[in-house]
Formats: sequence, C-alpha cells, structure tokens
Amino acid sequence: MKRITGRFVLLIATAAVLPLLLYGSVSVSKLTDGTEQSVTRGNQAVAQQIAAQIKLYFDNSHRVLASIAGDLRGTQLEQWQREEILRNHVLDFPEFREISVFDAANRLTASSRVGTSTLKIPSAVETGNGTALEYYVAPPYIDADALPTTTMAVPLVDTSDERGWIIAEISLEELWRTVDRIKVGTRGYALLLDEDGKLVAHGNPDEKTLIALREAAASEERTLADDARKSQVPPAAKFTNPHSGEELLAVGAPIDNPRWAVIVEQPTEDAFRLSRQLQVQLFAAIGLALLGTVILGWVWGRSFIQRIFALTRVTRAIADGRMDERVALSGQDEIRQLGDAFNSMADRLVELQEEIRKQERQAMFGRIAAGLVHDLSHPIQNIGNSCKLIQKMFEDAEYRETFKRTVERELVIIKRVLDDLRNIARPIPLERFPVDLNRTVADAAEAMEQHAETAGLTLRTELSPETVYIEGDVFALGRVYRNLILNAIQATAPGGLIVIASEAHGDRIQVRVYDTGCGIPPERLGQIFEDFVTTKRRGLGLGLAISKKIVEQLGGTISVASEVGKGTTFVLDFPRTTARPMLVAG
Amino acid sequence: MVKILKQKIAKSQSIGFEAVKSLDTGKDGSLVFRLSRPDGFLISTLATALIIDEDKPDVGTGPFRLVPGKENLEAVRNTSYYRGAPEIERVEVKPYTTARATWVGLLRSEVDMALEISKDSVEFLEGAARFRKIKSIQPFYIPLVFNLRNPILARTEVRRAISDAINRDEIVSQGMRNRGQVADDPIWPFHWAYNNGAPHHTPDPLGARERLDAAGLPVRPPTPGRRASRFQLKCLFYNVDPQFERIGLLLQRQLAAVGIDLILEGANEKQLVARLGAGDFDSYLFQLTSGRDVSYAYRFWHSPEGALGQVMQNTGYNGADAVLDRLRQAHEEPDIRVAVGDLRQRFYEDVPAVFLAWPEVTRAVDSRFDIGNPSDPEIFANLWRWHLASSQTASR
Repeated sequence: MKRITGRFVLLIATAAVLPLLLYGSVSVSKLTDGTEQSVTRGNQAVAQQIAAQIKLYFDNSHRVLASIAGDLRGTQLEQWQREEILRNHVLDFPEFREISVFDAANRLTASSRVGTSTLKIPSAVETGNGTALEYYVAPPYIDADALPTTTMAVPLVDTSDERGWIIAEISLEELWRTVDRIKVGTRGYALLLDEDGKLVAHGNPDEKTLIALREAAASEERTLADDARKSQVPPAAKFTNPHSGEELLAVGAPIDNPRWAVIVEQPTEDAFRLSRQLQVQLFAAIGLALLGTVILGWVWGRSFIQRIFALTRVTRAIADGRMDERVALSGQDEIRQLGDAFNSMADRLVELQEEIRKQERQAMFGRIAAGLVHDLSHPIQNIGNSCKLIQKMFEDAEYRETFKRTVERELVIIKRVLDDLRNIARPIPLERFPVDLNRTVADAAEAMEQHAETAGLTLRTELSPETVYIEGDVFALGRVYRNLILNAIQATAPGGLIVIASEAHGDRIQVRVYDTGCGIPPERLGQIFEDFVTTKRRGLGLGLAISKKIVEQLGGTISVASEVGKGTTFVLDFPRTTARPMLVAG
Repeated sequence: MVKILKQKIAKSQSIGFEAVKSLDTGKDGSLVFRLSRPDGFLISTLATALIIDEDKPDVGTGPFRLVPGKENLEAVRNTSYYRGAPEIERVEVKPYTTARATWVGLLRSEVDMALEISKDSVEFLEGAARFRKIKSIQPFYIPLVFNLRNPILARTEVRRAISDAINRDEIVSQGMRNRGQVADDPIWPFHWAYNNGAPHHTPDPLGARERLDAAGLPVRPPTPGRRASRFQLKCLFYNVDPQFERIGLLLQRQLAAVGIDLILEGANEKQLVARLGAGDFDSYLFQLTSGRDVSYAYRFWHSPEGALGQVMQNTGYNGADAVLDRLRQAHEEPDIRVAVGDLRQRFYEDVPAVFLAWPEVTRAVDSRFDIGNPSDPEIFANLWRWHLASSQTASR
C-alpha cells in the first residue's frame, strides 16, 4: 500500500522540482555555451593583441633599422662612424645582437661586430622572394646559447640609388617576455609558432624547453596556426595537450609579417572553472530547493495523514467492538467533516446495535417460549388427559398401570427438555472410558429402528469391519446418535433411507449419518449447531447444539454437508484410542 | 699523510707552501709546519689543496671517494664520512663542450645537475617546475685590466680617470642583462673578511675629463679614420663569449664620452695568452678568478715573483705589493680584516684595472633533489647533504 505521505512528497517535489530542473538544465546549457563563447572570444582578443604586439615588435625593429638607413644614406660618413652608428644601435636596442650593412653586390660594408660578422643576406631576400615587403624576417634558429634568434633584412637605398640591405640579428628574448607576460585565467598561456610550425616562444614554463630542442608544435597547434593564417575569423579548437594530457581550449591569431601565428591555450578546466562553479552552485540551489520541498511535502502530508490515521484507528477500535471510541480531528476542512460524520455514524451504530440486541432477545425469548410450549405442552396434555381418565378408570388396574407408564414417559420427556436447557448453560457431565464405537452405533440403530419403520423409512447400519475404540461416554454418544437419527427421520419422506456408518481412517474414526431427506438450505447450514436454531417449525432447536457440545467434549468434531432435495450427511470424527474396556469379573 | 703532504709541498707552486721549511708529526698526532717566514696563506692553501696519494687516489676522508680508472671523474659515497654518510651513492661528472650541450643534457635527464648553464638559457627555466635554479655570485670577476707598461696607463691619474668614466651599473644592466653585480675590486663579496666600508666607484665622466685634462691629455681633433680623442687605447676581449663584445662596446662608448678611443680587438683564449704573455696589449677584458680566499688576490695582483709569475698578471702593476705582503703575513682575524680593507682602499686609489662586475652563475638541479639551503653561496659543496625529495634513487 502506498503511503499518502509519500505521494504528497512526490507530488510536491515533482511540481516544484521539475520546473527547477528544467530551468537549471536550460541555465546550465546556456551558461556553458555562453561561457565557452565568452572565453573563446576573450582569448581570441588576447591572441590578436599579442599578434599585434609582435607585429609592432618587428615594425619597431624595422623602424630602427630604417632610421639607421636614413643615418647612413648620403652622409659620406667614415667607416668608423658608420660602425659607431651600428654599434650604438646595438647597445641602445638590446634586441639587436648585430647590425650589418651589405651593398647591392651582397658585400659587407659595415658591421656592429668588432670581429667578423656572422650575418649574411637571407636566401629568400637574395632570390627576391622577400623584396616586396618592407622588411623580411628569416625563420628563427637556435644560437649557441640555445636561444631562438632571427634575422631581419631591410632594403637600403643609398645616394647612388643602388639597393643594399641592412641585416640585423635579433634576439627574440624580448619577444619571449611579451609572450611570457600573457596569462589567461590562472593557467592559460600563449605560444608563438613560426611559418614552419616550430615553436618560437612558449608561455607555459614546463614546455618552454621545447623551444631549445627546436621541436615542432603539436599537430593540432600547427593546424590551428595554418587556419589562423587562412581565415579572417580567428579560429578556435579543443584538443588534448600531448605533453600534459589536459584538454585545452586554443585560439589562434595570425601575424602577417613574418607569417607567424600566436596561439593562446587555456586548459578547459581553468577556462570553464567559473562556469562550473556556477553550475555547482545552481545544482546545489536546486538540490536545496528539492530538499526543502520534500521536507515541506513530508510535513504537510504528515499533518494530513495523521488525521486519516486517527480515523483509521477509531474505525478499527469500533470494528473490534470498542463502540465508545470516537475520533477528534483538528481543522475545519473536509477531513474534519469526515471525522464528525464518522462519529455520528458510530453513535447511530451503537443505537442500532442496541435495538438489534433488544430484538434478538425478544426473538430468542419468543423462540424459547414457543419451543417450551411445543415441547412441554404435549406431555403435559398427555398427563392431564391421563389424570382425567384415572379418575374414571381408577378401579381399572390395567389402566392404572397404563397411567403410570404414561405419566412416567411424559415426565421423562419433560425432564429431558429441562436437562437440555440446563446442559446448554453448563458442561455436560460425561464419564469417558474406552468404548467400542461399532457397538454404540449398532445399539443406537437398534433403538431407533422402530421409529424409522413407523415413519416408513429404512434405517441401515454400515459398520467398520475393524473394531475400533474411542474414549467415549456410551449414554452421551447414544444421545448424539439418537438426535441425528431422529432429525433424519423427521426430515425424510416415507420410503427414504437413513444410514449410520462407521469408518476407520488411520488414528481417526468417523461416524456418518446420512439420509435421503429434504436437505438443509445452504444459508442455514452455518447456524444449525447454534443454540435454539432448528430447521423444524417447532421446538427449542437444542438437539444439534447439545450434540456438538458432547462431540467436542469427547475430543471430536462434527460437520454437516447437505444438498436441498437430496439429503444431508453429518460426520462425527473422533480420535482412536489404544485403550480397551475393562472386563468386570463376574 | 706527511709523506703525501711533503711531496705536495715539494712539487707544488701553491703560494701557501712557499714558506714551509719542514713538516713533522707531533707527539699528539698533529702536524707541525715550520716556516721560513710568517705566511697566512698556508691555512687557506691547505684547505683547498688536493691532498691525495696518487697511488691510492680512492683513499681519503671526504664524503665521496674517487673511483680510479674512470674516463670521467667519478666518485662513490664514503659511508664512513665523519659528518654522516651521503645519501647520494655515486657522483659522475660529465663534461659538456658547450653551454647548450649542457643544457640539452639536462633537458634530456642525462644529468641531474648542471654546474653552470648559459646566461640566456636561464630564460628557459623561468617558472619550470622540473628544475630548481640556484643563482649565485661565484668568485669570478670581469675586469678591464691595464698594461702599465703603456706609458699613459702607467699614470695612476689616467687609470683612475678611466675608472671614473665607466658606468658599471650600465655594464651590468645592458652588457650582462642584469645577470651580475657591480664589482669594486677583486675581493669576493662573500669572503668572510669583506666589508662594505671600502669606497665604491661611482661613474663620474665629468671628473674623469677633468682628471685627463689635468694630466695633460687633451682631446685631439679627428683625423681620417680616427675620431677626436685624447689617446687611443687598445683592448683585447674574449670574443668566444658575445657578452664580452657587448661589454667592450659599452666601454668603448663610455670612454668615448670622455675622449678616449677604445679600440676593441677580439681574441680567443689562445690568442689572449699569446698576446698577454708577450705584453702586446694595452688592456684586456676577460673573466678572472678571485678565489674563495684572498691568496688569489695576492697571486694575481702582486708583482710577479719568480716561478709564480703568471701570464694573465703580466701587467706591470706593483702598487698594492706592500698591502698584499702585509695581508700574506697576517694570520690573526683582525689583522686580515684590516689588511683586506686596506687592500680594497689601495685598489680604489691606484686602480690596476677597472673592476666591472661579478657575473651571476646559475646552477640547475633536478627538482627531485632536496639541496638544503639554496641561498648557500655554493650548493655543490653541500652535495653530501643532498637527498631525494621522493623515494627515487639517483646515482649520477
């Protein structure tokens, strides 16, 4: 049985939580999407900003070298002066390690280096591939100190309008710092890839050594860099860091000259931490709301169901016969009305019960009185008649003898009726000793044979071939058999058959009395062993009640099966006994 | 022990053993040195000398015992070391030809510690959890050493003017990317007798010009191929390390500001030795050792004495000989402190060189090791105290 409290809780929780869950899931979904987009856009802005700074870095370097070109152009400076200009720039701009000037024939004309210059014109410039640009930045390389270094070539036009080049070796240390300074969230960082997809700078301290090993970036990073160069929209991707195994949110931004790319990476755990914290808070709020509604539902349901329980308890009490129990319910609602109606019903029930009892007592008294009148009127009348006759025929000795027998017989009948009434009210005194059951059955059948013949019936015995004994009272058993046979005679039309049989079944022995009489209606079968219940029109109806009492006092049972129009069978069931009757010496 | 020491003293040119006349064993098992004259450097020489039986190089009292017959220096722990057995079982010294190779060896976990990583490689280690970086000022300094055989440089006021013209802070910040600290003299700042009471050089280009003017060295007009200057000063610099060229260029510009034309000339070690040995230089820019005790200052800055004369000190300087001799004879702590102070004062007044900077050295150690106090000037000296932070074992 489902408890109403549980249903209340479920109802309230469902009504409250379903919208909450719906709201929560929609919020979480929106929050996640919004956060991802927001973080991505923010990181894209950072990547573009870094790309702009790096571009500015090279633009500034270009401007410095262009100003050198201006200082050297057409000034007819001496060699030491030209070199001093270059050296001063190297000293004033720490990113320049060396600046050298080459003429149109690619010959070194001046250098900041004291010794031999290590610079040469980049091959791309020599072949003309980079001359369309304001400056050309060569692919980075690792110098003797394991630092990524690059060279920048700026075209130089002197007074004779001959082309030459200012080549500068640029340390990328400052550029590193630009990348290092970038912190996105708490663990996000930036990295810089050259055109070949090799790492130039890395903002993650633990992966910075990859630069010195001149390792290529991860394939996903290279793809992102390529996409950044091709696309107008800064690309974004998620992938797993091959070194740490963490999932990363990465965005890219291109640099047009040199054709490098900036990538900003942030572990998704870091990027979406705020979002996840909000999700947790949201789920916690939903959980608390759920808990609150469940508790509320439980309290409400409990307060409601308590009154139902009270009603149930009183109902059971009344069912158990405690008719004075009443329910006291609080509130002014329908449950209270139900309680009041129940109390009224219980009051009325008590009244009706009293009325029924009164009617039953009256009916019982009527039945007893009628039964007594029936059972006693005939013997009394016989005695009365005999008394009248004795006055006239007192001198007739034969009649006096007849009178004596008649009075004695009718007194026996009266005494039996009175004994029956007494036996109903108290235990029947029995004297139990081992008796031969077949013998008792045969005696009873013999005693009743005359009655049966008078009624035009056949009384037959079918005894067990085995001699069986029970702990019984011969006179009490005879009374039981007599009652049953007499009932059968009265219920069976002339020409019918009455059989009294005994059968042994293991340690039990049964006596069956059946007839081919009118039978007992099923609705009365259950009451025929009750006091003052009879299927006959007259009489006290104590025969079967006393028989049942005797059988049960002897440790047996009595049952009945009947079919209207076919007949009735009474079955007496007794335990067998191994004891045997004592023989009296004589 | 006595036999080994006697052999050592007989063979050694160590400055502290010069005055030892005899060595005997005392009744209580002590060693009795008899000296021809007081020599305070004996103790420091004994402290740093490798006292070892060449026939049994694995016999000793230190925390690690050398393993003979190995190509590279290799030592195993001395479980009977009196200060406790080291946790590290074996130490193998692996030489690398370049800083980058050392660096790569560290990255590849071929070694657990790099004794020195290149200045610029430090950038790679910034923030990396895998390595612990220990920066320290080791007893090495970068000076611009003068050859006093040059008549102009023989003049004390000229050398002082040059020293005043130099902005050492700029040398450290721009020439060394701030990886070092300014030097005033060759006394290691972590020496126990060092004190901050001695005067510090401060850049004074104006004063330098006044000194040079007063010295009769006016700025002469330029000539073809030559700037206007008071005089030209050639400077050999060690060109294998680009840092020296950068420092040289800064010196060149700073000296040009006071009218001195510094002519830079790169040289590798071999060329340097040859040129310095021949006295063919006006000045040179290189890295020298100050040692952990003051005997190194004596050895380098005292005028050459017999066999102890060294190539790098062939400068003709003897202005601090008296103070250095006093320092050598001092054997009481107060006397040594006073002598060190006087020596620093002497180097300030009569500069044999422009002491520019103490370069910062960065050692890198695998983070698996607990190295104790990282602020110790020399973590390697505490190798016997190292232990693994985790349960791993190490043998290198």
